[in-house]
Amino acid sequence: MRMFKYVCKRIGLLIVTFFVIVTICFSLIKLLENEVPLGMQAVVELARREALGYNKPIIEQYGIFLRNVITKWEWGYSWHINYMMPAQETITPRLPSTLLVNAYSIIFCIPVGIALGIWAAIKKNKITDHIISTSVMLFVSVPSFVYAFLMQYTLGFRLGFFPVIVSSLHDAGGSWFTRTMLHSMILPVLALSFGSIAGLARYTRAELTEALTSEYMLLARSKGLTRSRAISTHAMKNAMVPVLPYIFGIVLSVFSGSIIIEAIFAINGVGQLYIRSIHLRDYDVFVVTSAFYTIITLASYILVDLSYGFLDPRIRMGER
Amino acid sequence: MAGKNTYEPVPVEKLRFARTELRIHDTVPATKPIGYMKDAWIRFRRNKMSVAASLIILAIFIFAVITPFINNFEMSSVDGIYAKARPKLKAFERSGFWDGGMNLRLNNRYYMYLTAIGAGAEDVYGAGVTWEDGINSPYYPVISRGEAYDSAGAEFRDARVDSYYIVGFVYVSMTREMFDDVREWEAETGINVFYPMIDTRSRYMDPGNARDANFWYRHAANHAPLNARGQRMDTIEEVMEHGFADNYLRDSEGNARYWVRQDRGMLQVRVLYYNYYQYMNGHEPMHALGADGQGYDIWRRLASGILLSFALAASVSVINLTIGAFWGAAEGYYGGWWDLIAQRICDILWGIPFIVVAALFQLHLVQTGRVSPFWGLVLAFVATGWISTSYTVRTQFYRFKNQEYILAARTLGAKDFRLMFKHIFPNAIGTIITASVLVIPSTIMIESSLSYLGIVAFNTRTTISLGTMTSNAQGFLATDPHILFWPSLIISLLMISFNLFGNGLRDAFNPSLRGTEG
Amino acid sequence: MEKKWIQKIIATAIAAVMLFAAACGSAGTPASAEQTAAAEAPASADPVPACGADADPTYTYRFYLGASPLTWNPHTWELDSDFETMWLLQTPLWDIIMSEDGEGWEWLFEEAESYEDITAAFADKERWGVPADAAEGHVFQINLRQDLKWCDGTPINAESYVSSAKLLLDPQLLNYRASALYHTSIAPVNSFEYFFSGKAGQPRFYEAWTAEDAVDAYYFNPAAAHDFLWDYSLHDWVGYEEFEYDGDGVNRYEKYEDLYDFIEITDEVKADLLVFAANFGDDDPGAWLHFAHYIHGVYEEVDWEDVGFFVNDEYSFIMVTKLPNSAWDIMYGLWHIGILVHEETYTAGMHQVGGLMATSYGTSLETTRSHGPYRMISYEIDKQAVYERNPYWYGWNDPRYENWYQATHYVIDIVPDHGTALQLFNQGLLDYLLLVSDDMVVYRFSDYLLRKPSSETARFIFATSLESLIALENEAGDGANKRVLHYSDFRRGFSLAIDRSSLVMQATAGALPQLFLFNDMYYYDISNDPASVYRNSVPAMEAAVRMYGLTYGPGEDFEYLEDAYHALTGYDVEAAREAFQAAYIQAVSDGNYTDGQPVQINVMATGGTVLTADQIRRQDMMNDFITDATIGTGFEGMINITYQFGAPNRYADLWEGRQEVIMGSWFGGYLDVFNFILNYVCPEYAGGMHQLTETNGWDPTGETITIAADFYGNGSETLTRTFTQWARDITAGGEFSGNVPVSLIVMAELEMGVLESYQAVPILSATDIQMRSMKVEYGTYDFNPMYEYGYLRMVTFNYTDAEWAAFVAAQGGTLNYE
Repeated sequence: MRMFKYVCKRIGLLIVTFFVIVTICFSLIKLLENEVPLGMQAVVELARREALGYNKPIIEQYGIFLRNVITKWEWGYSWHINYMMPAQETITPRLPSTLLVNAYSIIFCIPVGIALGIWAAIKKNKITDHIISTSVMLFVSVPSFVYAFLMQYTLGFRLGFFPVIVSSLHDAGGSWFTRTMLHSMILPVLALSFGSIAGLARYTRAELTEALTSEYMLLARSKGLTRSRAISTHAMKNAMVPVLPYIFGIVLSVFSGSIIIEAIFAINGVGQLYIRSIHLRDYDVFVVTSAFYTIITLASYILVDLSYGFLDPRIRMGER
Repeated sequence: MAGKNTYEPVPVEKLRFARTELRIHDTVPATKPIGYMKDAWIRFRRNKMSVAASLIILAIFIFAVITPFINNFEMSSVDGIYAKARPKLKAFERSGFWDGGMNLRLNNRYYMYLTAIGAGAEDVYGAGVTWEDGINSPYYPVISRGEAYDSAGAEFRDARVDSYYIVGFVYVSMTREMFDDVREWEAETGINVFYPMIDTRSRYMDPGNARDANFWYRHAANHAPLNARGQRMDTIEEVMEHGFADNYLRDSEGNARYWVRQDRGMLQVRVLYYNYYQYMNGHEPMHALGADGQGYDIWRRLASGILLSFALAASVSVINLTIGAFWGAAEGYYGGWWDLIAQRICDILWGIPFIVVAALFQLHLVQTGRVSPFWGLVLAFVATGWISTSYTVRTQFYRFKNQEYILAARTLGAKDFRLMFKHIFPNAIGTIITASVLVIPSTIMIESSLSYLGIVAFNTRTTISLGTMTSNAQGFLATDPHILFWPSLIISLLMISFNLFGNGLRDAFNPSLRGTEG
Repeated sequence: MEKKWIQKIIATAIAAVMLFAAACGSAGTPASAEQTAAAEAPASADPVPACGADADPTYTYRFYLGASPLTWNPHTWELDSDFETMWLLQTPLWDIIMSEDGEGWEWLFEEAESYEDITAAFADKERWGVPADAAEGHVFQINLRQDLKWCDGTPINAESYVSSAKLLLDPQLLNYRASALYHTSIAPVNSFEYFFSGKAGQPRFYEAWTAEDAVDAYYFNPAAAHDFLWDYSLHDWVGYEEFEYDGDGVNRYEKYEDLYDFIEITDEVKADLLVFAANFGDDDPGAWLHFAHYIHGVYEEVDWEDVGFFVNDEYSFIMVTKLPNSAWDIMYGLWHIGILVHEETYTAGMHQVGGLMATSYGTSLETTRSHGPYRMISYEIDKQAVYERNPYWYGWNDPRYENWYQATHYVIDIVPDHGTALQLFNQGLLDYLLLVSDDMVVYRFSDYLLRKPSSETARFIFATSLESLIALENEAGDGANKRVLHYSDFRRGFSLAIDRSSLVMQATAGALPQLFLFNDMYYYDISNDPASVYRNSVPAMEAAVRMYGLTYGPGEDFEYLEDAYHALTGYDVEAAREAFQAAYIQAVSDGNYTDGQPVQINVMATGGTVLTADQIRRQDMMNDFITDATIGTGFEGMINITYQFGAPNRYADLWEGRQEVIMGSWFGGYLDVFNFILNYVCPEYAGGMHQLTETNGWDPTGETITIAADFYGNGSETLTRTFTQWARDITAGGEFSGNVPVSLIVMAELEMGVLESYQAVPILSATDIQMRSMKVEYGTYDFNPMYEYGYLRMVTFNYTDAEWAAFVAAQGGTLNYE
């Protein structure tokens, strides 16, 4: 029962934190100045800003914003990214492509990453460990746009195995799951996965090697468990404690999408939306995207903390 | 047959006294006591991989420190004409490896244009020159060329071209005294700098090429050369036979002119840039690791970039470590309402988008000159960077908080502070060290993406960072990969070695490993 | 019990996340499914058999953009990508095409059948304020074709045009492109008043300095006091400077902080204004006038009937213009503005947002209607737009269009990364490619390369008034000098020191050096002479050669004018040193420079958040040039230039005296160079003195210039007028407007006059390099500013789509464009 009280407290705090972060984001973006166009357009632009209430003090604007959100679920309008589109609706058309590419890359990289990590940990300091570790190091340290470009140039352009960019809905026959669409998504999925596979493998290897050297492993082996049995029941469970948040981190990145990969493979995803809303000072879109990411991040924190208890009964998050 | 045990007495002569003196002392231990640190050092030394890693880091550091003394470029020396030139060593010239060459597919007109550069270099007095002179000239840009083949209706050949000699001739404006000074230098060194001027407004010159000093030969609108009688020569064989017809500016007696008046007091001249560079800089244009997008020497900039990035990453990691450790320890150890509040503060800080924080720091602190760009960026990193360390420390504290030995120490009356930093912290030190050591390469990576997104840039004449070098090079990845290759090689080496170094450190600082390794 | 319970929590949580993701995903899918379904709807709804059905061969032209469009509503479009998405969906009243002989250009009547100038016979002239004796140039009747339809079949007639114009000028919508109709020479009568009739009944305020006759009452409104505050309202300055409190202890600023409209200027207000002015370093007792406005007439409530744009009969409408307009003015003016909109969809998309009314017309597939040769059949945000032939377009059965618009489909892909676009082009998946200068080493000799000049010229602009420079020195507080910028000799030295050809070669991506305000893209009489390039005209060359002190003729340095002109590069180290030394002596004698004092010049190069590597290279090269040009002068080793970034509005900062030098650039308007000089010297054309960036320390309304020319046909005579007056004389309604030879001489003198004030120093102008695909041929290959390469109208295809795919496959999947 005590855990239930803890979860309720955490959710209550989540709402407060969410509220604070949105307020900070709202005022932060307004602090960045907004460039006025030149010549005759300046007069019209200034009149439009006056009409939209941008010249009012920030607190007053925030009041109006809150009233609109609570009463009419209206998060404002985008003016510089999609003209006159309600801010919250700028996310939904861009979500499918980011979600799908990232989901495929997760399905591909979590099992592969963990498997490599385990294999390297078991064969510690042997040849396979060195090969895996150095290749993992390479992929973690080389910027993502380098191997994204190399794959696109060799596999896509020179050899022509895969299309160079993700196909549009119209070319793919109207739905996200046709053959041409999936075929065109293979390169970005690979480009996205290398980074996560490498990170996951390195993290799993590190945690597993530490678990393998602990006393309970000695105990398990001396109790007569075979090496693989001991590893799978005891070492793996303990190694997973810190690895799970990393997996949640990767799951979370589903929504953020990588800005560079989406630019290179012309994916109309959520990635650029965030950066463009800052550069173009599209206030309402920035606030909505920040709120969207914040709610997901905070929710996943709770899940991660709970998962500790789930894996290692001795750990009770938040206890005295 | 479990018979009764029967023992015969041991004969007395088999026994002797082990010790005869009256008082017994402990023997003085032969070896000195191995403290925590020494033990860690021993274990660290034994791990071959992390020793190798630390050697690599040291090598990179030494490379960065000694470069200014052995490299013949200054940080600020730059020549835009040789921007994006490929890596070249004099010894390897025209060898196919490290020779500043790039592979191009040349159509006939491009191939004639390049041969004309070689031919032009042999024709200082405008007396006429043949195709063979061009091919055999030391300034002939083509290193090697494949057989001609047809594609899309035209004749092509694949060739490897030297990215320094391809520049050929350039128009330069100078004062008269400088003109005389160059003439003197030519006389002293015997190296030709000035070449005949071209009649850019003649009808044999396509106006579009007027600014290109390599079009010294008569040519039609589509760049195809014309022979002496003005007929277009489309095939290589024709040009071989007739040679190029020059379009030099000549005075009344027919001698080529070497300068043209500009404005009131200036002269426009046509120089063979390879030699003009030697007049200006005293050495041949040669970038061991190539030149970057603006014309700086990559090797020299890389060295100072490494130092700056080291300094930036080290300070960020140290600050993050200290704040994070204390905050995480307090959070993890006391738990309860304090943990909730502290964690929520972390969530809030972590929730604020890092990019906006960095942009605001740049806008309000750096641009207004209150803070230097270096500390502005360190502040941006540290504003939310320490949270991840505090998060790791908090997890470790929760992990060890209820271990038996802690409970035992508490019952023996140990104060909180002692418990935290004498007992729990050393156990957590392994993961924390690895995390903080890994902060160094990841800071460099984040700094590179920040420059890519246009938020921060160490891009001045005298300061550059690895991250800015990588993001500047992103635009040239397709055409000139060497600009990106060197900084990302260094970053990968740093990433690999810091990682192995971190693993080595973690194993070294893990007291429970004492004596277990083979 | 406890363990099981936690698992339930986590399971539900994960399910929730997946649900949420699926919901978004599905929300995404049905929406896009709707889009495609909606796309089907109009297609299947129309009875006419879809043109270009798959049976016949399809010709697809594949274009691409680096950024996605914002809106393709002709009334509100802003970006280039908006224009690229929009122009296919429109047919203008008339268009400019290549003439039969391929040399010049000619008008082609499209949606309009003809137009007549009916000023002479127009009945109620005085109602529209048309001068009674006017025989032409004011009232125009445009006769439309009778067979025009929208892509969903609704007919188009005169009423559609008039109601669209009404929407364009709607006072509540405040459309971004409305100024193209109400602020140009073809502005219909009362269009300006109608656009601003939202402020009906309010008095019309004009800045105090424009008042000709005496004014009894002055008014002050912080939001409108542009002279000092530009567009920052007063409360932005609260606490910026510590101000004295007025007599009864109230902080002067808080009094006006939340004042958003005009109050009368009493003595007390005047005292406060003087304090504000003093804090800007201007302690002249009349300085309060800079804040003041006066009333001159009232905004009346103007309704649409009073606007000179009304229906004549079912297929013709009449436009009455305030200013007189030549045939060219009207044709060129109405050719440029997109007026026609599909009223029903336009009004359906209207929403009230805060105080602003706006429409979502032209932002998605459902809100798009076309009256052009193509219509949109699919739009995916940030990804792709697909068009097919519009079956209702009149052109398909008009003999004049016989071999035009061969393309059956047109596709625009959004490809942000240049490397990716290059690969798509080489795979034959794009039929157009914009090159960057780094590609030139590979493609410089390609037969498919096309070089298109751009009209943009970048220039340094200086703030030269002493009080601004002194204020900047005090604010910097580092003892460095900026007042030397006040001396035109110093700025002349600055200009002569720059080696522009080496600057563009080493620190730009393929730019050209530029010495004058207008590069060779500008024409002075395009309507009569297609080759009338202003830069190559004799007066322009003569004025330029005279400005740089070169002489030509027998026995001179240069024999012919062309030789002298082509020898001009603006780079002259000796002359620069003389100019700097002259400025040094003058500054020291005026006490504006003490020997050995460092000079710090800050140049605000961009509003962006960081300086690009090229911009930093230019800063370093500028420092090298200035150091070299000050050797042997009083400023040797003293001057340092620093490039800055991040100013939200550098043009305003410069005019306001908050910045000493900026990098600025103008582009466009290259079909009529006379009109363009107004942006430099005519306040009321640009929207107020503060819009003329060159006027900090230089007043074109005061400065005079003496020009000798044969003005009235009776021999050459010299006249002296102010810059502003000369500019008005050679543009619409001016004394010499239409007299090309005289206007050309005046124009050349005006340009050199502005340059000789050295308020601005031009540096470079950009060029566009593009590649054509093997699949298509353009109408023409020598670029003409009027019709470029013939646009899509004249594009012919060498392959059908099927043949093209086969051809690319035969080449092994990648084409050779080198």
